[in-house]
Formats: sequence, C-alpha cells, structure tokens
Amino acid sequence: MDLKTWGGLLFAIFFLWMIPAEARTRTPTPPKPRIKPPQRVQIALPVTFSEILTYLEERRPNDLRLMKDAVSGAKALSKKDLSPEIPDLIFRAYTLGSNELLNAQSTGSLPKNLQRNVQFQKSVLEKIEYQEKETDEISDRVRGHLADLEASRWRFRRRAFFEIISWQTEATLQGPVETTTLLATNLGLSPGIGFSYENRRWASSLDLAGIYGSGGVSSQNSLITYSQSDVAAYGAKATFGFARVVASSGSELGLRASALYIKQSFTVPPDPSYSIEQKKALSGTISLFSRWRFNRFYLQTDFGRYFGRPATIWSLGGGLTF
Amino acid sequence: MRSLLLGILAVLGVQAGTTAHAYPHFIGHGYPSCLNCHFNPLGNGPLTDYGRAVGADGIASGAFYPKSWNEEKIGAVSGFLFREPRQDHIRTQLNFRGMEMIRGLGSANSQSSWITMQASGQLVLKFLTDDRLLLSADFGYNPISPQSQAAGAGNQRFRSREHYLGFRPVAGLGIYAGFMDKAYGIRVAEHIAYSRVIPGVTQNDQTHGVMVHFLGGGFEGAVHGFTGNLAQSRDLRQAGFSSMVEHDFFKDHRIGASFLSSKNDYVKILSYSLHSRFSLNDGSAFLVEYGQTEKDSFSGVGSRISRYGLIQTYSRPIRGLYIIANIDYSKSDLSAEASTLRWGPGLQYFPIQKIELRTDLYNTRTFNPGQSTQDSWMLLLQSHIWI
Repeated sequence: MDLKTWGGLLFAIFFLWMIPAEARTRTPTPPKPRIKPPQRVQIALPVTFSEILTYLEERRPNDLRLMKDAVSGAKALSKKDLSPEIPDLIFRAYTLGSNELLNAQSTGSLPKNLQRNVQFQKSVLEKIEYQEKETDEISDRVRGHLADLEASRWRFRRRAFFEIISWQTEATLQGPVETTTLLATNLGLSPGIGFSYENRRWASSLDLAGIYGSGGVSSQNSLITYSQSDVAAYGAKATFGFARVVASSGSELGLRASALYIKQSFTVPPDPSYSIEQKKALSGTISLFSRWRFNRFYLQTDFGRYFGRPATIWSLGGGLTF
Repeated sequence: MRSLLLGILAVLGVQAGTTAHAYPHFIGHGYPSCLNCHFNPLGNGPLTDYGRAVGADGIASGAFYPKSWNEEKIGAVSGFLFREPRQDHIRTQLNFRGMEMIRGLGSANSQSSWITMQASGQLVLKFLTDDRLLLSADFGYNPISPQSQAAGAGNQRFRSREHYLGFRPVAGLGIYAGFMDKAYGIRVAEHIAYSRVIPGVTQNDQTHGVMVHFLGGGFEGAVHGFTGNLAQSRDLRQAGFSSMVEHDFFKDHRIGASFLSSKNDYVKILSYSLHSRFSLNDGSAFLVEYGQTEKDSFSGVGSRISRYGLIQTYSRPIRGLYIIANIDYSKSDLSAEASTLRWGPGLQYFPIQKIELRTDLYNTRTFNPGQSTQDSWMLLLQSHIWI
C-alpha cells in the first residue's frame, strides 16, 4: 500500500470520526428545558434577580439577617420567621439565578457572586423546607451543567512518558560492480515530556522525546553478504498530535505528525572498493495513535508511516499526567 | 538490549490485560461476563434473547433505522428472522462469516483469496426457569486449511463447532458437558492471534469434555476437563484439563489467569497466562494477555517453550464503530533470538443489527539479530451476518 492509499485510509477514518455523534443518533437530544419561574409573585414586588436582592437588602434587612444566620448555622430558621412574601421571592430569585447559570456557555462568563448567591438561596429554601422537590431538581441540573462547563474548559497539561519504539532504516551498500540494500530493524526506548491543550472533546499535544535503540542490519539480496548485529541508534523526536476524546474516561484517538532525527552508523567493509550510503538522519512520519487514561496514568499506542519511503514506525508506552 | 526491551513490552502487557469468545471488548459497554448475552458462559455460539437485543440497541449503529423506530421497536426485531419468539424453549440462529484476505499487500507477490469462514446453523433447546437447562448445537461449513489437514482436525467439509448439554442448578454455578472450546485466556475473535494459536485454543481446537462454570463474589471462571476431539484419531486427541479465572476490580475491570495441561501420544502441552480487561467507558476497552506455552515432544524433536502477548485497544467514536489497535507478540522458541510482533490497526462496524463489517491491516515485523527482513503486510476484509 503506497503512502497515498495509507493517507487516504487515515483521512477517511478521521473524517468519519469527525461527524458529531449527535448527528448520527436517531433521536436528537431534546434541548434542556429552562426553569419556569413561579407566577405567584405579586406585581408590587421585585421581579428580576437583582431587584430581589436589592429589595431584601433595603426593605427586609431583618429577614436577610435571619437567613444569613441560618445559612451560617448560627440559628435555626423556619418559614414562619420570615415575612410572608420572602419564601416566594427567594424561590423566584433561585430559579432566575439558576436559569442564568444554565444559560452560561462558559464558567468565565458568569457574573461575580452569582453561584454564591444561588447557593445561598438554595440553602435558605432547604432550611425553611420550601419547594424542596423543585429546588433539588433545579440544583441537580445546575450542578450537571456546571460540571459540563468545567469539563469543556480548555486547559494545559504536562506529561512525562516512556515508550518502546521500533522502526526500520535502509542504506545502500555499493560494491565494485554491484549494489545491495541494507535493512536495519531497530528496537529502542523513547523517554520524553509532553504538553497538551485539551478539553473534554478535543486534545492537541506536543511531545519531545529522546530515542536510544539498536538493531540488526543485513543485506537484502545474495550478491553481497553483509550482516551486523546490535548497531546503536540514537536521536530525538518531536511530535504534534490532534485527537478526539472518545470516551468519558478521557481516552483519545487521533493523528500525529513527527519529525525524527536518528543517527545510526553501519560499519563500512574494510575493502576500500565498498562504500555505504545512508539515508538522511532527519525524517518525518504520520501516525494513528490512541491514548488510554487510568486517572493520572495513561497507556499509548502509535502506528505510523514514514513520509517518502515505504516503512513503518510504531511505539507503545505509558506516561503520567501532572 | 532487544531481549530486555521485549521483556519490558511483555511486562507492560501483564500489567495492563482479559477473557473471551465472541467479543470480550464489550466489557467497555459494562458487560464483563459473556453469560449476559451468550448461552455459552464463556462466550461464542448462539446469542440469548437479551444478547440479541443488546446487539440491536446497544452495539449496532442506529443511523439506518427509520426515525419513527424507537429502541423498543429495534429490539423487537432482533430475534430469529426478525420476529419476537413465540415460545420459550427453542432458539435458532444462522451465521455467515466470509473474508477477503490479501497477503503480501503492496509487494509484487501479493495474493488475494476469499475464505468462507463460517456458514452455520445453531439450535438451542432450553427448559426450566432462567434457562437453567439447555442443549446447544452449532453445525455448519468448515473451511479446510493445509494446517488443519496436517493436524488431522477439521478435515470434514461440514462439522459441529460446539454441542453440549448445560445445567445451572443455581445462578452462580453451571455444569456443561459436550463439545466446546477450552476454557482458557481471552477468547478474542482473531483466531490467528498468537494467544490463541500457541496454546492451542483457536478455531479448530474444540474438545469433548465437562466444564464447571462459576460466577459470584467478584469472581468468574471455569474448570474444564477434556478428552480431546473424538472426531480425531485416538493418538491425536489432546486430553487434559484447563481453567480460567477472572476477578473484578474497580468497576468493569477484570484481571484473570489461565492454566492448561494436556497431552496426546506425541506431545505434552503446558500453558499458562495472565490477562486483564479494562472498560474505558462508552464502549471503549483495553485488553491484554501474556502467556507461555511449553510443548514437550515425546520423540524429543520439536520440544520448545513459546511466549506470547496480546494488547487490543478498542475506541468507539460513534455508536456502532470501533477503531482497533491489535498488537500481537510471539517468541515461538525461547532458546532462539527471533521474535515477531504483528501490529494491526482495524475497523469494526455494525451498521445495523445482525451485520458486522470489519477491516484489519496487519504489519508483521520480525526481530532477529542475525537477519533483518522487510515487514510483511496483510489486509483482511470481513463480513459477518447473523439472523
């Protein structure tokens, strides 16, 4: 399979996988219903979230103090201790504040103190045992939405990893009248560090690693017999990857492009009429990789192809995210 | 250096690694035990009604159904011939599995061939509450390979792959007597996996015997005593016993161990392995097995100790589609330096219930200090239909 076919296959996989899962399900997820505020508040009373807070501070300071004491645990509180309109107002403020939280597209866009105020109102409603069932349902939805927002937030992560890596290298042995291809099959270690910028659905990463390994080399035809074992190879690798997070455990599947610089010197036969022409030490690869998270640890597989030559490179390893 | 690295690779396999027939990676869907979906407690063979419904509603893509169909409607047509069973005692199933195999992909010597791997009918008779008494049989076409001819097994064009009588006196204990696969290791679908070929637990290695299966207290496993395949001549039958035990740890993670001891007139086999299966949620899973097989030839020729390892990863980006990394390691003779690693990216797609399409690309690399050879490539295109 040539490089174009290989690239086409990888692209097809990636394209299929880019289609949002929601678009492929038979029944679209219904939009989250918003909370309908209660309609029992009298017209003379404040309506908006901020008006209610202002009303409590300016018109009902004693009620506000009682509620603060109750939430802090200093005193008990019942519905009878408050002015008659207060429970409805608190519940209305709670639903309005919760709506604002549910409509937020990111945690960074939320007004200052909004979460604290909503939590305060929820605590008051629990203390006075008012609209308990509705309060709990709203609370669950808000908590879930905020957790989703937090998970969707892009963040940097650093990683340290250790991989086993294998690759093949070719060279040409030129004799007085004949030539032969030399092939080395290498196995090595690749420790490194990585940086990720990721959220719950996507992850991009940059990895930098050293490579040390060795391999046996032999001629690929019978015209010249050449064999050498444990030829040392060393170098470095820089990898950029982009992945889709495919499971709630954080498992990733994606594509990576790597630049490798690997030095490996084959011994030239003592006969001066022979010479060895080796490939450039710098090469590039593209690969399909998967990363499997177990809390802070992860395992990773990577299977790739060199640009410009028919050879594969693979690696298998694990790492730690911190 | 090479031995050290391959050793590390192997240890990594041990620390990471599972069971199974059919598809052990469905642990990623929260099904650690095969008993949920198969009549055979270690998987493979005919599906239960529940297993058919899971395949329709939870495994296969929902993209090609009419929009008016809900999960209940889809599940209702998961039965034989797309009908809900009208009685409790008889279940039937038909299976077809074919494969286009392209060897030497990309080379001048590339060869392509079609193999009909399975064309079989399955029948289950079941009685008592919760199907505690059952008789299961699977009979169908058998592709004859040169290897199976040489082994003296599977020379018939048509044969049974399993037939047994099962009885579960209590939910946690079952006794199964008849012809079935040996209880050993992860029953991955890939019958060319070294973890199935080397210990002799692959597609033509069923045996007559009695198996006791247990499930409970965080453990599941089986002890299997067998006398060999009675269709073979007496001198070839591998008689002995095997066992496989798994233990749950955390949620939907399992770690397990297997043991097998058998012999015939020519060779004694001792095999043991560790394995593990991890659910990575939402259908994604990670499987590992690492084992060793000692074959002691009574003639003294061909005795050797082999080691094998398997890592399989399954990612499920969308419902019905699994992207696979299949890493298969073999050192066929520990006294020699050569070892082989076969790496295969693959796609498994269930576009609709009762249909499975699969593509596997295998890159095989041999590590031999004295000789370096070009990697070999193989492409497999499979289709599997069951009704």
